[in-house]
Amino acid sequence: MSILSKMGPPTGIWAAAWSILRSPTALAGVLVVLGMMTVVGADSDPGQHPAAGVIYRLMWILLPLMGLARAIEERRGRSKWAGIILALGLAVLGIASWQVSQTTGWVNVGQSPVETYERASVNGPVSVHLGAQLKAVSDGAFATVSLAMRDQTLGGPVTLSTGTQAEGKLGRFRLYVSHETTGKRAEQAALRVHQPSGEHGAHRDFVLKPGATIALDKETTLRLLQVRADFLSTLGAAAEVQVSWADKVETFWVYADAPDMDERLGQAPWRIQLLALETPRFMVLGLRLATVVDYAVWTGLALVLLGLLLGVGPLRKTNVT
Amino acid sequence: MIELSLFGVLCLLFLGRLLSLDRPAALDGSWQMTLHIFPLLMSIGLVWSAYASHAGGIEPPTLVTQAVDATGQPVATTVVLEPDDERRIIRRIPLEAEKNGAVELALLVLLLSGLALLIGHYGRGRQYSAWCTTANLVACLSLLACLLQGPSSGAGEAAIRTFLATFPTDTTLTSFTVPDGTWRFERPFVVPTILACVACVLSLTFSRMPQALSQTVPLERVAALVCVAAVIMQGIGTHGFPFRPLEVTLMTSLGVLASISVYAETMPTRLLGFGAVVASLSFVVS
Repeated sequence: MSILSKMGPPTGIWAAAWSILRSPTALAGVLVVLGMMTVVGADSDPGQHPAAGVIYRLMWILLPLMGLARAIEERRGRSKWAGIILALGLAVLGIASWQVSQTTGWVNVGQSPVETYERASVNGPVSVHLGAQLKAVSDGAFATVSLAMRDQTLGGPVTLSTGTQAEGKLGRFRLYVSHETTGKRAEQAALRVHQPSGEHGAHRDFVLKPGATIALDKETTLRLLQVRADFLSTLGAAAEVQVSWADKVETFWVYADAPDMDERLGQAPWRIQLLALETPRFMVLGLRLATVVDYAVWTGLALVLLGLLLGVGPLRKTNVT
Repeated sequence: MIELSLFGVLCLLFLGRLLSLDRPAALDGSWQMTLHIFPLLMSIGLVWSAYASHAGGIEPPTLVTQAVDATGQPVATTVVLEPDDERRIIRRIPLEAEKNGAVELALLVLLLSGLALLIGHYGRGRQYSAWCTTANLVACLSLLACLLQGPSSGAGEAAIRTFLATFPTDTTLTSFTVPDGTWRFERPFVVPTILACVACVLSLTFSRMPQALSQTVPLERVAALVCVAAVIMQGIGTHGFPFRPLEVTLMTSLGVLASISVYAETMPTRLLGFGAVVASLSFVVS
């Protein structure tokens, strides 16, 4: 403060900047922009910082500077220090938020191990190598995740809850289970083939991948041509099959959720029923590098708490009007 | 989410304090007014949810709860129906339970909250406000009882038979599948309804105090301190700060409320109010 007193009041452009920093209207504007940026980014992808834009960061830089400018002009010593500590705490929180946005991403893990994760950038997600293979096995409530390179384990296995989204440390990463999802493309179909003979209810079940062919008897084959998880976005799971017998070939679709449609006027003596399609399940893991960000956040929170407790006057008002 | 909901209540209190700065005469009633906003929003949300999931038809909309398994996935049974003169029909039916009466009670809460707001806004008829709040509390408790009734979980063939017995029997049910494991029914709007009850109790308590709470406690700072507590609870619960939308929203709101709490007396109240509204909205979005 003594240095500032010796320097005298700012002039020119510095006076304008100083008045802006001290302006209540400017501070209110910064707060409003901060809130709006947060709302806009609230539905961002898992692992992606919701409000990582330049404007958001600029507001987080201005906020502690404005608090500092107002604290310097405060006459009461306690309030001055409370304002300075609060501004310092907000600055630490802003820097920590900035840092973590550089290292966050997400990874989709299925039955096979993965080696890259997606990191959010201005131009969209960028694949970044994990430095090892990440495996994840889910049993519903928990997921066991490990990081390995060839036969050498680099981290884990660590158990993560699929419901709480709590973080766990795995090697040089911290990650959590965001949600589970199914793949867009079905991998195989379960089909029931009803016998052409007069025996009621006689059938055989098969699980086929698209392109696979099986023999139903000496002269009849069944080929699964393709599958659709939701045919025309209306009819649900469907499979296109081809039945070949003697010198005849018949190709048609069967539907799992609309069995009324599979009644055919064809000649095939076999009746094909689609029981289910199997689509691969993926776990989406939020991921970030395990840096010192958490310590910075705890420090910032402690400073903000101290600043608020030291703040203007006692917690209980005495001057009732 | 409980700490967030509580913080949302504090945000609304805080907003009421800001909006009342220009009208000192209405200061006494502003806290009770803002407390009534919470049951109002809760009831609107419940009614909206019921109407949004209503598939049309003659039946009035009801609140429907979905059965989910241990992984949170919806549970369904596949039934085979064979009408006499038609080929068999296979249908997948999700396990659901209706909360009959919940929408009607929510509409009652909506009406009473609106009445309480109107009475509080014009600042007269304190005894009428108390009666209205008491009636609203009874309605909220009845709604809570309605939401808590019904099956909470189920498993096995017997539970499916009980569920299927609620459907009309004009067709022959040939067979059905039994989902694996146990399932539980979600209980939507229970926590918001509990908080609505708490808001009514707080409103009644404040109305009986000899002095308005806003004149004795600087709630701006209390709200900021609660926000710090919410961030700490979130950090402990998730073992870190991954800065997902929830963490960023909490952190931003902390910055907003901490700044406002220190400089509230020198800032334009309308802009502050707008900032608080945006901060509160971010919680809703999260």
